[in-house]
This record gives sequence, C-alpha cells and structure tokens, in this order.
Amino acid sequence: MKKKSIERKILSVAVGISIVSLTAFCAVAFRGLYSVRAHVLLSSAQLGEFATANSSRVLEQEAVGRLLDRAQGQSRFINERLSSIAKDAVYFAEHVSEIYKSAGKLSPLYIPYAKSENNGKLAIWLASANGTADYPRIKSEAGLLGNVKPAFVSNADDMVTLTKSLYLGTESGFIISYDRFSDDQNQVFEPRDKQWYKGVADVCRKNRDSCRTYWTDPYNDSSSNGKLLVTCSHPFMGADGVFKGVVGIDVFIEDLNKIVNSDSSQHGQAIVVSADGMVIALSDMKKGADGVFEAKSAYVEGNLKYNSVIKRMIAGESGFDRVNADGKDLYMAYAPIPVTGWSVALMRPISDIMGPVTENSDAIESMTRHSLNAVNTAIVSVIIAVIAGFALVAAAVIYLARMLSAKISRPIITLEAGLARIASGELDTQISLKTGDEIEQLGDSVNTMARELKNYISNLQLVTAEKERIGAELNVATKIQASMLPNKFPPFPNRREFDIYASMQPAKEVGGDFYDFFFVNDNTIAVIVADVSGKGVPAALFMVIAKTLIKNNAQSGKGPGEVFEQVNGILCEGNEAGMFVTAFMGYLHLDIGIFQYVNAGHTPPILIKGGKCAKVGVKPGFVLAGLEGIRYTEGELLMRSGDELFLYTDGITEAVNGQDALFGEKRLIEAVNVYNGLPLKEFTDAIKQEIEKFADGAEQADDITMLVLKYR
Amino acid sequence: MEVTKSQCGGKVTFVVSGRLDANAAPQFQAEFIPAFDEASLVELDLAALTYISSAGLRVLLLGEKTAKSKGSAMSLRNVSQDIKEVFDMTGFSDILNIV
Repeated sequence: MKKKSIERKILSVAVGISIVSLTAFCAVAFRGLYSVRAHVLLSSAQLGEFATANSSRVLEQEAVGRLLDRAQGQSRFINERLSSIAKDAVYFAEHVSEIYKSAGKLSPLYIPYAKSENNGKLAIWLASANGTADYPRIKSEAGLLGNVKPAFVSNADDMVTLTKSLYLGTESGFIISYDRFSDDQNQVFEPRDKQWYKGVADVCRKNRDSCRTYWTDPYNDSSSNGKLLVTCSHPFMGADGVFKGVVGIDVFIEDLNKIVNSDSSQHGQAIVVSADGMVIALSDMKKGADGVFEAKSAYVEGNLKYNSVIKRMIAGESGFDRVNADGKDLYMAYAPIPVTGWSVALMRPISDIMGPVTENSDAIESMTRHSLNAVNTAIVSVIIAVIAGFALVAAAVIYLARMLSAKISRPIITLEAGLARIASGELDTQISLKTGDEIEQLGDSVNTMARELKNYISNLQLVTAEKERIGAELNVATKIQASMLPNKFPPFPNRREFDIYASMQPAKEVGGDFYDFFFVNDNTIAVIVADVSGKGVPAALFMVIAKTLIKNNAQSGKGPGEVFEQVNGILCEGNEAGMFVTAFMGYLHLDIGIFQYVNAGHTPPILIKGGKCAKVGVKPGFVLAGLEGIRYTEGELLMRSGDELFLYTDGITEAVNGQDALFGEKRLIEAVNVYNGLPLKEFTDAIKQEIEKFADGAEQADDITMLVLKYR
Repeated sequence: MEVTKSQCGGKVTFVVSGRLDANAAPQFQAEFIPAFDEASLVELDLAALTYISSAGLRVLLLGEKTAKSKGSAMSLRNVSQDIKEVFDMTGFSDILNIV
C-alpha cells in the first residue's frame, strides 16, 4: 500500500503537471491555428469580394467600352455606307443636271415602259403618272433623260448589296428606274406623290438654296414586294437651274439589317433609329400579318429609361446606359449616323457582359475554398500531429515518472524493510543504500541508530544485571538484617514475668532502625530501639555495628548509661561519614519492676499505666556517635503488673500523608489509648493500620519500628 | 527545601526553609559545609524550617564538627518550637549554639 501510494503520488503529480502543460500548449496551438484559419477565411473572402468587385468593374468598364466602341464603329460603318449612297444620289442628280445642260448635244434615248417579263432582272424602265397615256406629253423629256441609262447601268455592280433600286422622278411626273422590279403594273407611277420625292421637292420648290439630300423614313412600297425600305433622294436642276426632279436610291431595311446585325450575337443586338424616332433597322424586326415589315416607333410605351436613351440617340448623342427592355437588363451603347441624322445603338444583356465576372468570382471563390481546404487539411494534420505528440509525451512522462517514482520509492521501501527488521529486534541489520542523496544519509543515520541502540541495549543489560545483582544482594542484606533482629515470638516462652513484641518495617529494603532485647542477667531484660541517621546499606551497616556493640557491652554487666558512653566512644572513632544513632535502652528488673533506662537523642517511649499514657520524660542525652565524651544520664521508673512500655522510632510520628502533615505524637497517643489492652501483636498491627490509614497511600518515608514490653 | 546564602564580612548566613529531610540533606550539606572554609562565623536562620530529619541533624552535626576543627563558629537563629523539640529530644540542644 505504502509503496503504491508513494509511486502513485509522484506519478500523479508528474503526469498531472505534464498533462496540464501539454493541454495548455495544445490549447494555445489550437487557438493559434483557428485564428489563422479564421484570418485566412476572412482575408480570402475579402480578397474574393475585392477581386470580384474589382474585376467586375474592370470587365464591366471594358465590356461597356467595347460595346460603345462597337456602336461607334457601327455608326461610322453605316454612315459611310449611307454616305456613299448619298454621294451616288448626288452624283446621279448632278449627272441628270448635266444631261439637261447638254440637251442640244444629246440624241434622245428612249426607255421602254416597265415590262413584267423583266421582273427579277436588272432592267431600266419607264413609268409615268398616267401610264403609257402620258408618253406623248413626256416623250421629249424622257428621251433626254434616257441618257442616264449608261450611268445607271454602270452602277449595276453596286446594286448587288445595298442599293436595290436607282431611279429618277421628274416634276413632269415620270420615273426612270433601274432595278429588278419591272412590272406591267408599274407603268402607272406618280413619283410626285412619294415621300422620297416630296421630302426634297417641298424644300426645293420653296427655296432652291435649301435643297439637299433627303432620307425617308422606312416605308412600304408595292413595287418593292412589300419590303421595308428607305430612300435617299437628291434634287436635280434643269439647264436654267430650275428644280426638275429627284434622284432616288432605295435601300432595303432588310439589307441594312444584315449589315448592322451581321454580328449581333457577338456584340449585341443593333437598332437604328431615324431622326423621327422610327425603327429603321432592328435585328428581329417583325413582319406584320401581311408579311410586310411594319414601320414602328422606337419608343416603348412606359419604359422611361429606354425612351430617354432613344431621345438622346435622336438628339445625335453618343454614349451608353443601362436599360431594361423585354424584361432583360441591357447595356445600350449608341452613336449617331450623321449623314442621315439617324442613330445606331447596340444592346447587350448585362448577363452576357457579366458572365466572365461571375466566372471570375466563381474562380476566386473556388480558389478561396481551395486555400481554406488546404488550411483545414493543414490544421487537421497539425492537430493529429499534436495529439500524437501529446500521447507520445504523455506516455514518455508516465514511463519516466514510473521509473523516477520507483527510483525514489525503492530506497524508501528498502529503508522501511530495514527499519521493520530493526524494530523487530534485529539490531545487526545494516541498510545499504547508494542513492547518493538524503535517503542514503537517512539510511546511514538508521544504521548508526541501530548500532547505538544495540550498544545501549547491551549497556542496559549490563546495568540491569548489575542492578539485579545489587537488588539480590540488598535482598540478602534485608534477610540478614531481619535475621539479626529477634523475630521469634514469644521469644522466651518459659518466662512469665513479662510479654514482649517488636516489629520493624523498613522504608527501603535495608533499614536504619533496629530493635533488640536480651537478658543482661537472669533477672534483667534489656530492650533497645534505635535509629541510625540515613537509610539503606550504610545505615544498615552502621546499625549492625551499633547493635553488636550495645549488646556486647550490655551483656558485660555494665549499666545502660555506661553502655552508651562506651558505645558512643567506639562509634565516634573513624566515623568519617558523620553518621549517628539515636537510641533508647532500658533494663527491666523483672523481680522489682524497676525500669532503668537511658536515652541518646531518641523519641521518648510511652508508658501505659492503668490505661493512661505518659511520655517517659527524661531529658535525652546526645545522639550516639555524634560527639566523643558524652555523658548519658540514666532514669528510672517503676512498672507495675499490667503496665506497658511502648518504644518506637520517629518513623511513626513523622509519617506523612499526601498533604505533608505529620502523623505526630498526639495521634499516636490517641491510637495507643484506643488500642492498648489488646494482645501485643494485635496492638502494634492496629497502630500500623492507623498509620497506613493516615498516610492514605503516601509512600512510607522512614522505617517504622515498634517495641512493646508488658510487665506482668 | 530552599537554601539562600548571604555573606557579610566574615559571617555567612544561610536561610533554610521547608523540609530538611534525607532527600534534601545531601544538597544542603554540599552548600553548607564548604562555608566554614571562608567564614569565621556561619549562621543558620531556621525560621522557615518546617521539618528536620535525622539526615538533617547529621548535617548540622557535621557542621558543628567542621566548625570545631576549623576554629570557626556556628550558630542557629529563629529556631521554631517544633524544631527546638527535635533538638531537645536528640540532645542537639546541648551541643548546638542556639541563639
């Protein structure tokens, strides 16, 4: 568990840190990528829009410019063609004028009336207001003007394309025409009613100087098989300069259309508008129900924009505009045709023009899409690479962290195992770690600790053994001491004069108190209670000496005082330790009841006489072994039968309780008063119990020694 | 037990308080006995002494003996009634200079 938890901690920290940092890195990278993508997207879109708009504008300008160029080209082309027709008209009119001037020199050239047989062939024919009936009236002038024939016929080459009919009409009411429309019915023809004629004649008749070339509006003519046509007419004068007639050249709208709209599919539909606002040419001019082209107004009802363009065309302006016609948006480029006062316009659907623009924008869009796709692909591949890198790094981190944590935790596990062995008592265990770091130091410290522990334990074992030995010896000493004190009761079963009981309860194993009793002679028993200063072995040794000396001296027949004086002298010798003994000794003379005693600084005994207690009140002498040469005064008292003497040491009076209060003499006397009269052993036991009760568990500080002597 | 020592000229005064028993006696002896080497008069103020055991008496006896051997003097002051009784009972009253 521990192993795993250390490993797991290191692992989770390492992996956590690296995953967080990798994730942050990836987040930043992805954000960057996506902002690049967004930027590319935006700039591509902007670029596309800009390019489209720009190219649209350029293309539009170019297309419109081209359209206008084309329209102007058309106008120039038409103008040129019509100018050449007008020039022809002028040329033929002047030729006719020349013929009038040369009337005397020219022989008449008679032109036949129109014949149907010549229909479809180029032929020159005559017609007059009243047909052949007029011939006599016009013969001379017609014969003169017949000289125009060579000039007319020479123009045959030109009549393949545009010019359809070349003719002259006179004030006298006949017409000489060169064309393919010969027909018997055309023999009756009144030129002066025709618009092409009136357009010129009306001016010339009023004012010769204002005469000029005239272009008709499109019109139908029976002689032209119902085809719509325009006529360019020019006046001619007689020799006298008087207006004589008009030369006309017909141009079929159809043919004009062919020219104008020859390439309408490429450049747009063309429309030619006359100065009066009539449609002269239009690519899809409709034929009427009668199969004839209708002359119609260029204006379209309700289309203001279109109509304003038509107005500008009529005004002779050049330009372009956007219009809507037939539901289509068109560009309309227009240019004037000065020779006729007409105007040509090219119309092209905007969609045609903008087609390339749309293509262009489509191309740009597709390029944008391509680049965006490329960016997306790049981003995806970067993401894949980053994820792969992420996984790789994470795997590497996990692997390395595992290795590292194992490297860190292995010595710790070794250490832990070693410590467990040490804890189980294998103090010779040495942990071998060569990590070169704090863990190695820790291992060394543990080794040192184990060695120290071992040393300490072996020392402790020595000390303990020593203590045990001393304890055992002290135990022996206690036994010896106990055996030295008389402990067989009753000690003298055959002596009836007295009863005696004594006990010594040491505070430590070996006490400093002692008691003794013995016969000094057959009639006298000696009792001693003593207390050596201090406790333990030294006190016990001193006690043995004192006890032996006292007993020996007493049994040699000396009186108590003399005994103490002797013993004091001996004990003082060599008493370097300054120990001393307090002692009380008395001789009870059994025959007379005299108790002869001496006190060397000891607690006075208590005499129980007739149930009453009294201290044996002799002034004590100085302690034994204190000073040399001390004199001990003896005292005497008389004991009667039943009297008891209670000898004790200060272990009783100075017994303390938990509150450091002394048991004291007063309590002792009270206890003695209560318990005296009991058998001696029970009496001393009762006193001991009182002391124990008072001490209430407090440790016994001093030896407690009691001796009771009862005189019978 | 607490002992405070003060010196005034050739006189050293020990103020002893508390219990002078077998536990306290060695410490008291270590402070008290050397005083006779430096002073001609060693005074003990026992006003606050509550108890003296035989071990304490032994130190006083040692002091008295040391004083005698060094030719100096030892005196006891302010001895309480309880302590005086002990001195009386053990005969120390006779050998000690109690003032």
